[in-house]
Amino acid sequence: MKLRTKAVILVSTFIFLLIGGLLLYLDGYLRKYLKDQMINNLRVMAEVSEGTYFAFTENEKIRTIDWSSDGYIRNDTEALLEAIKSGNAEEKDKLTKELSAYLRERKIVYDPKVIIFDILGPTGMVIASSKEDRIGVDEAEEEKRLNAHKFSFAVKAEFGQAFIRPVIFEEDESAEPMTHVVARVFSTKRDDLGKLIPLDAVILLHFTDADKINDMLSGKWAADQGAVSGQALFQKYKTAEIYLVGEDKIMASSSRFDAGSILRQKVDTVPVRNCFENKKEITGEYLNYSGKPVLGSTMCLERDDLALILEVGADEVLAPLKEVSNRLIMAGLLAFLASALTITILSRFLLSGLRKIAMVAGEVAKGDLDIRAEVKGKDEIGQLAKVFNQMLASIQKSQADLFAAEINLREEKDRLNAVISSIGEGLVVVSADYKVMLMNKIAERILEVSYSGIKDKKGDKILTVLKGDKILPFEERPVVQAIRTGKAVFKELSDNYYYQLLSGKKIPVTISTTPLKYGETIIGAVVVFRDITDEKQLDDAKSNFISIASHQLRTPLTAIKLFVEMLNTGKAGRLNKTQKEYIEDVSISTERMIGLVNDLLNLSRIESGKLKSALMLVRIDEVVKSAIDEADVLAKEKKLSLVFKKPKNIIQSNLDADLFRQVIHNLLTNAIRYSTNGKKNDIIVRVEKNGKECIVSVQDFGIGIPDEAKSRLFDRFYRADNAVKADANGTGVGLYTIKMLLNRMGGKVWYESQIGKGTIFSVSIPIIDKIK
Amino acid sequence: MAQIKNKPKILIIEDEKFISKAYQVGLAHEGFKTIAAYDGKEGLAMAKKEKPDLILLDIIMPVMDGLTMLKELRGQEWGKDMKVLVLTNSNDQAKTSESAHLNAIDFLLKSEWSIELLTKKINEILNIKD
Repeated sequence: MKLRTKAVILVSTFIFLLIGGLLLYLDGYLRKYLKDQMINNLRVMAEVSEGTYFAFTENEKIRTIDWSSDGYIRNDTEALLEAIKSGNAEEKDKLTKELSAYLRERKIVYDPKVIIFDILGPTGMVIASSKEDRIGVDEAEEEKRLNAHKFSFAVKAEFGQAFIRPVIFEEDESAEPMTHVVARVFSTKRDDLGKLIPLDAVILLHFTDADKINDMLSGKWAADQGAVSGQALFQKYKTAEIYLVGEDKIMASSSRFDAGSILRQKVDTVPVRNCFENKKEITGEYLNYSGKPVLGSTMCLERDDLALILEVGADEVLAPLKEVSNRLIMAGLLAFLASALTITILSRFLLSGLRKIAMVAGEVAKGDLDIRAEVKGKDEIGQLAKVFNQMLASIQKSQADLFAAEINLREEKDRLNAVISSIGEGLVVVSADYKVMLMNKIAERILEVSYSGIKDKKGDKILTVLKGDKILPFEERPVVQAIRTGKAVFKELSDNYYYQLLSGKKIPVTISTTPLKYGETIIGAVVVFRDITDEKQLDDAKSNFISIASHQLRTPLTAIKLFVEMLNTGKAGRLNKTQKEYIEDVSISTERMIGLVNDLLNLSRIESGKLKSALMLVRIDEVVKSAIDEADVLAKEKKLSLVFKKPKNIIQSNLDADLFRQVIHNLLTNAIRYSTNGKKNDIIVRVEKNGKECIVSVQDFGIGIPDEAKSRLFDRFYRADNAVKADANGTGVGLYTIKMLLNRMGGKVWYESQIGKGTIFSVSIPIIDKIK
Repeated sequence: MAQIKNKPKILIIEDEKFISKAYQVGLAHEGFKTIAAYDGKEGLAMAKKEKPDLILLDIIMPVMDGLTMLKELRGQEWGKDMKVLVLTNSNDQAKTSESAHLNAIDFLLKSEWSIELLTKKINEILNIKD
């Protein structure tokens, strides 16, 4: 979805919600206002109508009291009561007829509303009536049965009181509903106190006025009387109604819409129930007798057991609201459309810059880095375009740099490849899982494989590694050890390593394996190896030479030695002095020759690496002691004594005792050789432990070592001048041999010396607790 | 000489004639009875025949070398306990240890040993006191 569309939707939704909310609020507010207003009006009107009703009924009461005070009626009634009391039937009949005729002819004719005029006796029996067939009717019974009137109140009432019972329907009396009003009859005479004397009789007037009540309530009556207005409510609201409801919840006046509803229509609505059951007048919205929602107000006419109800259809009252709502919705819709249109246009204008940038970005994605976004303006979008263009320029530059770097890298790689392929030794790079990753031409040639053929193959699929005649297990191969330990592994000529190719060809090799690290992780190893077939042959020849030379040189020397000895010891007869002297010289020379041969052979063996180490756990002090014992004869010849300062504790180490004894032996023979017979004739040997090392020192009090000899002292065949003078017999290989042997054993040698005062030679060797 | 009557018999197996001669003369002077053989095979035959008290055995020899001879000797009932002192000018460590396995008394470098020292050694071996 485009940004513009999003913005339009967002803003439109916002405006829509805003206007919608406003409309809902207004609608609710107006609805409540209109309702409250209407309900208040209805209540006012209901109260006015109540007044009207009372005024109307008061009128009927006045008529009744007026007629009850008619002198003729009072006198005749009194006489009639006397006649009934005295049982004078004749008099009674006469008076009844007379009175009934008076009522019929002289009274009711003057008021068309009154259709029957009864006079009731003390028991409620009709004793005279405008309608003669009613004489003898028991109205007390009707009061009890139908609550038709209030005879029982009237018969005990004071003068001036009248009791009304409206809207009674009695078929036998009239086809229309009636209102019954009763009032007591008083004698025309007064008592001693001047008060009116009450009679035990009551007049009962039957008014046919139901229509009138309707008209009064609706205002029709007022209009009929010539009033300019009076029916405003009914004219304004077509659903407005005003009616009475009796205690029996039957309509007691006729409906505006149905003239026949009086005394027929059941009205069991909320206000009716409230009025009769709770004596409460209510005003509000509810459902009317025909189930329609109305706004209404009730007046409870408790005296007459009636409820006066004023109602208007809720729909009609709220009709203006609908129109207002429609107008509001219309206005809202217009506002919404206008704002949506505005935002659409505005966004199109504002976002055109962004659209351009997006288009340019699309082109860039396709690979065109020369394009630029042409957006002017200093707003955020203008800024964005500027930065975007700068970014493009920067990318362009980076790309150029990258390209140059790539060329450099390629050249570098070519150079490296050239170096690798021109290395005179086989080079193979293997991964951490021992697969071949790289191999130079020499390696291909030596191993008789092609790189492409064995790429990604494990090394053991290409060749077997042998040490001497023994095939090495995979985990002992130099490359495996280098990768697993992270340490370089070197195998030299003397280690006797061979590669056996797939063809079965066995090649002697030297191997240098270096782990390949990336940070701390070992990712493989570089193996550099050399075919040492030629060196091997040379070495074998050399070994043979040493072996042969040792035997061949020694054999004649031995013979000379033995015969010289026999001459010397007189086994071939006595020698004269000169002969003896000469033969002594031959003996010395022979011994020197033998010593020389021994030294050279020893040396050559150490140098060739042929010397085999036999590591054993030995006590260093004991090894030193044995060397001292061996040298003791020599020392004694020079009248020197060897003093051994034993270590406090036993020092044990795994080492080659023979080689170490050789080191100590050489130190001792040197010390003996270069000691002078002076003040001190001791040679002191110390053995000490120093941390993880053992230090053996040999101290003499001899000729000392001149400073100029220092740099060459451990060189092969080198002898200091003062040493040559002191003893011509030295060969110059003693210290050199010590150095070579200590190199092998991981030890060191050093010295302190003062010319003419003596020398201390010290050697250190590591103490090895366990053989790895 | 302490025991002239019953001279210990020493068999010298040595291909080098001068050395053999020196040993024969020298050791005879020291009071031993010496017999000589010049290769291993001859030495083996002589050892069987003469039953010497001690054999001085060279290693590098024609026909049969010293170690082969020693091996065969140890394989014989009569030779398995015979005293043998290896005397050679080849200080080959492998051969040293092999001869030790074959129960040689010692392995001596010829050039280091004078008649005098050798006599002492032989006397030690044969339990002869001066």
